[in-house]
Amino acid sequence: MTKKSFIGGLFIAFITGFPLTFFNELIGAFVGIIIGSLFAASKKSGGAIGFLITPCLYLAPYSFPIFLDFVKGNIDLMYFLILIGFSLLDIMVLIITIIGTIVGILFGWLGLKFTKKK
Amino acid sequence: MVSLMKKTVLICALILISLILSTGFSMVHARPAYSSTVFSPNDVSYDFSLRSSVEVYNASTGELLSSHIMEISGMTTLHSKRMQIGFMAWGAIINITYTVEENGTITNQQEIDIPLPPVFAVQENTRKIFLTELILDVLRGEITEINYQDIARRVATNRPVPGFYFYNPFYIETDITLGDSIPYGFWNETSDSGLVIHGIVHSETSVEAAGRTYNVWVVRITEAEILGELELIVGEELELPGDITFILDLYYEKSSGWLVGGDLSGSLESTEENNVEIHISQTGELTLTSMGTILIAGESYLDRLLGLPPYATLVLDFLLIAAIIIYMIKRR
Repeated sequence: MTKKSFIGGLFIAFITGFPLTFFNELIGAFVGIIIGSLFAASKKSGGAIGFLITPCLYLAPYSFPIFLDFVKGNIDLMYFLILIGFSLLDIMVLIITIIGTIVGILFGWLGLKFTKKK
Repeated sequence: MVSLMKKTVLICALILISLILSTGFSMVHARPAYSSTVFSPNDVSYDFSLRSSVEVYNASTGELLSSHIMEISGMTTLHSKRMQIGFMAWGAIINITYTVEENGTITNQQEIDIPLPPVFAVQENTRKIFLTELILDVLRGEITEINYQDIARRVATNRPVPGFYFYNPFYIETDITLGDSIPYGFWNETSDSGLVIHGIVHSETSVEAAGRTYNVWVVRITEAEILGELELIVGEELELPGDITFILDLYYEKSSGWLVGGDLSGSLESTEENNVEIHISQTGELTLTSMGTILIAGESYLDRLLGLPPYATLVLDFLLIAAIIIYMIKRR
């Protein structure tokens, strides 16, 4: 594991998963984590990517338009914080994040096995 | 032994991922014939207006005795997120301007902003909106004051309550044809009763909304459908108190089945015994201002936001994934 591969994996997880979340948030989140942790190629990096990226991608179709509305000034800060806060405090987000972390560790390990030269 | 354990863990994990992805894919290929993104609208906005007037005339002279006008206008933006597998939680931001005018003088004018968190449970692959534990607590009067901390705690574990549902007016199936009937209203499964009014797919046309032209189905509800349903509930023929007309047209985009607008017009004219004539009229309009995350003919939210052609972000994403996999193979 290197810092570079972790940051690369984090970035790749986000940009590969983000467009897919607007078709289905579960597919987007897990495709992003799988590709990102395979790229990072370590269990630690994969786990960290899964843990950090899962809530971002899983909630992207909900939070991104609200964020854009806030940036455009259509909703004020209090409503923005209420709506985002409600979405984060959710048992489903917690469950998906735990599964995302496990998937990240697994694919990080697979990536490590894959990149090791025989 | 260690190798065997690793293989078992690997197989279990692969089964888990397959299950998650198959759940996702089954939602994308929604059945019976719903567009996959209609269950999770985000940033979908509408402008709406409703005007209701009651005018009382002297029946013999035609003189206007009194008038009462109520106007409601505003905008709403829908938001949604997953509540649990099979259910999406819907919420909205609603801005309302409410005006009451009596005999030409404005007596009441209010502006109300309501940020409604996602608390309505929409069942995927159906048009059913179930109530949730939080809404029931509000209805039972257990939550009387708005305490954001308390509501946030309840929203986190909020779950749908089976037994009672509304029909979602925001989308319909995509495989409908002219003459089909679309149910609206609510149904109590426990008592096997409710109020369900069937709109008829009346015609097809094109509608301008959110800067684009959409091909739409027109679903019409008239006084005949409402009266017919009420007669079924009451169990006898109902007599109306005068000349009544009511037409509600709802426009649904053909490829997604999503609601892009609506028109309401209604009137009632009645002559009372004390030499007065009452005219009641109602007009309303619903206009889509942003299609948000609803997928129309392959055009996703990001495609619209970036001004790209349909499926462009999806194709670019697949190309990127392919390039990363090729890079990973080459770096071995």
